[in-house]
Amino acid sequence: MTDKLHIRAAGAATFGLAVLCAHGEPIESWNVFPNAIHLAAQDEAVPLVAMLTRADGTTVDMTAKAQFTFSSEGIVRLDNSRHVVPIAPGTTTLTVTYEGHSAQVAIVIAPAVQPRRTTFRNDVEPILMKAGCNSGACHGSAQGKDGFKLSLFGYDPHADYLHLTRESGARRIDVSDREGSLMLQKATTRVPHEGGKRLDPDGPLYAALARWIDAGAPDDPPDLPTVSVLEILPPECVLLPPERTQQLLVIATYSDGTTRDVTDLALLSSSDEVTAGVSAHALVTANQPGEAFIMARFATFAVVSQVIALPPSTGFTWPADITACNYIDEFVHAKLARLRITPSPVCSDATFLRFVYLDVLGVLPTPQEFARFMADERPDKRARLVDELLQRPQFCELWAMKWAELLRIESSKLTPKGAVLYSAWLRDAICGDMPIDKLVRALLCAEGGTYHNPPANFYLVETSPTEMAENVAQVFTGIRIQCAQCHNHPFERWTQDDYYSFAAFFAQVGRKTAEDPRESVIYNSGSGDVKHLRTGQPARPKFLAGAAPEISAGADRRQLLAEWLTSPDNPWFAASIVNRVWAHFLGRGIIDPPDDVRVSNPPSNPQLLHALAAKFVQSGYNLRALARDICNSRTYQLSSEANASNASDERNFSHARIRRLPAEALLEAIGQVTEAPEKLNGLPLGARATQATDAKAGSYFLETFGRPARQTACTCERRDEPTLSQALHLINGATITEKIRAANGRLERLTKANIPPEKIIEELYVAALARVPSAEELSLAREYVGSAPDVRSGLEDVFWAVLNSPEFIFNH
Amino acid sequence: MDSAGKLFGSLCLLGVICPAPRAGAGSPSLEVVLPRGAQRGTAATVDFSGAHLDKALSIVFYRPGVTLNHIEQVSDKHVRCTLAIAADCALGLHPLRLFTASGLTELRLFAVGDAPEITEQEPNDARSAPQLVRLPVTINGQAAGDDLDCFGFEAQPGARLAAEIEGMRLGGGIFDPVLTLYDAQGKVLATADDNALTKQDPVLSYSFASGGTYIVEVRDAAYRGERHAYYRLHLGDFPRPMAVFPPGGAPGQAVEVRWVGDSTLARETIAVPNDAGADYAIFVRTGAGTSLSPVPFRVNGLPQTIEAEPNDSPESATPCTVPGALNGIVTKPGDVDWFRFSAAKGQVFDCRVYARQLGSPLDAVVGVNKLGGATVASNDDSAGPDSAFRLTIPDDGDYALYIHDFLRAGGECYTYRVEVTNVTPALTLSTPPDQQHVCIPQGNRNAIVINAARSDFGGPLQIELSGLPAGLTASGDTMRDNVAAVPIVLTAEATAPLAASLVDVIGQCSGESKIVGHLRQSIRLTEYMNNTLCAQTVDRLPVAVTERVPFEVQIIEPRVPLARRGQMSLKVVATRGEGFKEPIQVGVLLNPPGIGSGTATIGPDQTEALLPLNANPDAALGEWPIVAIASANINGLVQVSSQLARLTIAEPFMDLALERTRVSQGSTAEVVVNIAPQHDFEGEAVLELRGLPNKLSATPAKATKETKQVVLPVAAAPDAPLGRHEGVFVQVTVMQNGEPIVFNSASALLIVDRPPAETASAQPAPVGKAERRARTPRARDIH
Repeated sequence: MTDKLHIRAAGAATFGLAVLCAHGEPIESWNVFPNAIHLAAQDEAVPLVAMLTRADGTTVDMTAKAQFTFSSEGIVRLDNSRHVVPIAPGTTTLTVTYEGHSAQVAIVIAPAVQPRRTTFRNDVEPILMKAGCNSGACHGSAQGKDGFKLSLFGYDPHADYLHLTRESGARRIDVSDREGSLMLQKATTRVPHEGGKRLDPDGPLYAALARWIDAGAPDDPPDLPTVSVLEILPPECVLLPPERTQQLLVIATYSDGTTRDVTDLALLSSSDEVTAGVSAHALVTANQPGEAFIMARFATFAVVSQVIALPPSTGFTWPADITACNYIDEFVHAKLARLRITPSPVCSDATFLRFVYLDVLGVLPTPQEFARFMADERPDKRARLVDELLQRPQFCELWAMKWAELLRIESSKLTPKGAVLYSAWLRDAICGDMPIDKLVRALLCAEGGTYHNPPANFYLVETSPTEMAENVAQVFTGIRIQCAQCHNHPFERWTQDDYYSFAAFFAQVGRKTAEDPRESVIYNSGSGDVKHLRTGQPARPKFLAGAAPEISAGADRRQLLAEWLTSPDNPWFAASIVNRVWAHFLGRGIIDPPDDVRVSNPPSNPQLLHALAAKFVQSGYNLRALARDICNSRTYQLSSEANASNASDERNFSHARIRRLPAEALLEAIGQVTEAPEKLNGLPLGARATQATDAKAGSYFLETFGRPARQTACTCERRDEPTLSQALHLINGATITEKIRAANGRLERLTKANIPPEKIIEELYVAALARVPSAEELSLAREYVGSAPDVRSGLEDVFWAVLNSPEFIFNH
Repeated sequence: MDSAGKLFGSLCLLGVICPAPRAGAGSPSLEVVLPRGAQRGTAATVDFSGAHLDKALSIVFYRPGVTLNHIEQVSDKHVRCTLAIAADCALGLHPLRLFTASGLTELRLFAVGDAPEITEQEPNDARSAPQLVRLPVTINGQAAGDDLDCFGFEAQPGARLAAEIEGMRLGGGIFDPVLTLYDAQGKVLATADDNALTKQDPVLSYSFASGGTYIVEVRDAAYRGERHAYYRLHLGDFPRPMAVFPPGGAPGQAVEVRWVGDSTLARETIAVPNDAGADYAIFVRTGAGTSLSPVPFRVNGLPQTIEAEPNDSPESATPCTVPGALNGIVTKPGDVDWFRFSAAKGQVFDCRVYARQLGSPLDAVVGVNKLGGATVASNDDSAGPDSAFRLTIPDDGDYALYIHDFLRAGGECYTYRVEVTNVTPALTLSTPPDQQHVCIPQGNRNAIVINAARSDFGGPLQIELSGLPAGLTASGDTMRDNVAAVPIVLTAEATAPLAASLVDVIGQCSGESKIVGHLRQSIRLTEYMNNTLCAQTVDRLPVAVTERVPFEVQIIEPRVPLARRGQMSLKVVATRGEGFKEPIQVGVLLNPPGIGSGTATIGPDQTEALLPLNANPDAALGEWPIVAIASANINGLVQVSSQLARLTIAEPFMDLALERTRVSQGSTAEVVVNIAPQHDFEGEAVLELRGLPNKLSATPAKATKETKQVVLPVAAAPDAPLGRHEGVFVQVTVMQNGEPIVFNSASALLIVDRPPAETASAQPAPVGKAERRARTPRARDIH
């Protein structure tokens, strides 16, 4: 799965394990990149990179120190910059050695050794992209620039060719006067160019364009090889000072089997320039400790290489007392060890109690539950508590709410009754442990009346096939294909063809009004198509990065889609769900945001994601089992207090993240602590905010604190950043003050029972913060109550202060 | 014509019946009847509340069994009545209207039940503290918004509970009840929401294995019970079948039927009455009670075929005769039922499915194939979820009819009856939705539109109102064969007693085969986005004589025709009673085809108004009835009508064609109008150019019946707006009998140019971006 999640370089010639190198350091492996070369033209050259991996995982670029020998002479030669240059057809093996270790590169030079023909699609288009001509801010914008338009990042080469060579008024090529071609004049600023200088007239890119124009600016033959694989090599490097640089290569493999060095043609960028930068020629330089991904874009592909820059300190050792509680910790610890980060210690019982209640149930522990847990002396009491909480209905209600957000259950599109029935179905499915794959199939294949078969409401939220496809991709795979509606995805592999072919699965969803005019009937109409925006032709259903299945006329296309999506072999489905669940408990996805899966946004710990997904599939897509594994991991139970090594780590789960309580949990917590629960509009008495079936049901409080309106499938709709109105609402608003003073509230109950103030103060702390006040806090509060005009108003103020403390509002 | 009037006129041009100012003399309005029903065999005190209910006189009941014993005026918003409900009164909903001295109210429903009645007592929101009741019982409750109502009762081991709610059916807004049965521990034993028989109103039956306290909860399905959200919850042991099979039979015969969906019932033989109407339905009686709402049952004399399973393929099709009624059940998911019959080339049949109309969950898809061959005809949903189509037999031979569910569902209640009949002419009458009744003040007139739906015949219709209250006479023209509506004017003698009755509206086509039709229409009570959620079908028109009002109106019949493409002002004169100063709104009740009309107000000190009329180029020629309606506010809106007047639509005297004209700013030009005379006329016609843009003026010209061309000079001011003006036309006025006949030409193009001198010495015009681009030097020019 990981391999598919982000295309990893496969080919590295490897030799030797755990032998000592000349310096006495243990060597893990010795690799040369690429490990196979297949050339068909005499003016091609392929550079080589040799890398040594030490036993501690750090890597060194050893290209300059390696020895190169060929098994046979006269086929290729090595030039001064260590490029393999063809001489004659044939095969040979290159052996690269260093200090007694060796690795091989298989080399094939095809018979037709002749100068490479410059083609439009394989040469000119990549230059236009490398030079930035077809970017969104330049000629790739929807209207073009200054009368000249190119397709964005070259998604439509045919149109680009016509624009460049044929379009009257905007033609930029003059085959009879190459240097007079406006394209070359503009790009070199020989005539004024708003976009500035894009090409060096003495450089190879300019020369390639010139060659193409000299050849008559020909269009490509129909059998032109296309890029089938793109690799960035080496796939990962770990730089320990004094090592600061690593040369990367970008190698394209074409449909005819030939390879090509496209390092200088690819667009290169770093996900984190502060950690590591990359030059135009793919030299990576580490700047400060951290992790960065170098992305290369070429043709319709984007690939990344991971760069880890370690701190210069030596002497890092993994603390012996930190051991894995389950498989989750093993993967997290492995990554942390690699980064030389020590995780924070496990949190206290009281801290654990509060956050596990909030995360699993969305409510606070009661003082009774607090007392019971603190008094429990069994060593496995945390795991027992997790098991107990997972069986409570609030757990499934919480997840039903989270799914309802993704599925956009709200009454304006579904009707109020539809929203209630759909929510109830979802809640019953999750509470009944319906496997998530089955749940998703029930949604995708739903048929019948939206009141009689509530999952059919799935097809009322959006009615256009393209928007359905976008939502399905984003919600169930985390992939955002929206960009590809108009142009190829700039940072991913998704093309317009992929987009419309995926949308075609929803082209035959029929909808008719039921006898009850509020209800709709969803059915397979068996006919209808989605038209491709560019070609105007009906798109044939095709899975994302998959096959175009055989579909008999009239068959329900959704069935096939559902089978493909929920198959254990699907690379995204299980991973995307476990990632969402992980993000809920840990505050951040392994891929983050969880619904933005793309090559250029790789998982911070692919092995962990893979393991979670595999376990999830193995468990029968069981949400409770997944949540149990996460909650029982040491990683989940970490304290939020950071140490020197992990303070700056935000991606690798080395300490707990402090998060504001979600709107529903906060309102519930206030109601629970004050014993004055909110009566929510549109919900029966006693219903909690988590049970709201509609994005509008409830109260002003929920909107203020960022509950999503369920207008999009994006997780970004839920807002947890603080706002001024939130602060004012808590400080001055009716919610807290009225509930503190409520006639049936906790304070009223406690004061009426003649309980001494210090006991009341203690209960307020336990109820709100799941801890007893410190001696200092208690004496301060007692003193304050004593100085107040009356005990009751003093206690109200103390209560108010506790509920306005960050400790109450945050999950920590 | 003000802008509202224009809109009104343009809508009416489409041939839509013009909405009258809101009907109802005095507009008494009935908001709600409480309690929402009563037990039969009892007398009930019932409160009617609404607006303008003063001088309440009686209640108009549509069905027998409920009578008014006593009526008491509490206030102008509140009337208290004592109703006697006969012991043999039909269970279910009884439509009624309250009649006051100033008019009739909206139709409301009053329910009749079989069990002792109680009223819900709040608080009963929590299952832990329900309202305790004894069965059998009918609870009159209310669950607005997110209210929950819980009722607790004791049950013996083995006891059966039947529960049914009348909620949405009561017609009080969108209230869609859900019924849930819990045991004392809070466990859900059964829940019910919608079903095909009682629609949004749930029913359930349950047998208790053990004795104890049980709780029934009522709430709105979306926690949004609208308006009053009243309901009647019936709890007991009454039979509650969900279907009957076969779902139809012949009049006067004994039919053995099987009840489906209720284990307490099996088979019984029913006597089908001779006079069963279109809405006939059967109640079931057992020792434990009577089913609260009946199951619909089709009654007609078609030869009856019952499916013989297996009939899942054309080969195993059940033989049947056509015309005939084919009865069956789509018993399981995926089931298809087939029937086969022989027919001769050219035979034409109407095939109509009765399934959802009879309360069956089946969403039928039906078709007829040549046996072993291709489909001849098929349909889905032509009659709501039910299907209907006309079948023309292409060749002599055997045919197979298939029926299945749209979603391939099936079950024991999925009954259907396909009626295959010869094509039979049919006529149904109705009134517009906003004219559900008509009230005529003493010594005055009022009018109503009768619509006709003719199927499979044509021809003029005579409309008759039978059973009018004393002192009323109706007058109306024959409905012409090319229209589907006619106005009827009712006149009340000054001495006519105040009375209301339900009138049989009869339409007759006196052709070779005499075709008779009656009123049948659905009155919408609850709607959702202009769709019906609850409606009541009625077959008679409420007509009432009401107290005299201080104004009358009359149309001054025009002495000239209205020409096609022409306009006219129709004069309406009001006679005001002493001191009556209210403004009177006037409009046309029903526009003749192709005619548009506007509205007008007769001001406080005025006695007449002009109603603008205009005619399409293809307005229907000839003489048409025309009626004005007038309304004024007399403690609520009061409506009366004019007499039935005549309006003649005629061809214009001439056809006119305008030539395209150019005129320069600051100069003059001539618009050439070519005339093709159509009809002779006396004297001279005046031709005027209309629709000119600002800063242009034209001089009128004259023509006689011989004129072939006129020239209309047009002058453009120096700053006249440049460009193409497409709405210029000629208006012709011919005087006849002292009144004008006015009509227009089609519109033509007038172009205003710059003065010629300026064009010659023109400054360079600003250059557009496109032109700039065209002038941008090509690459080669840049060197």
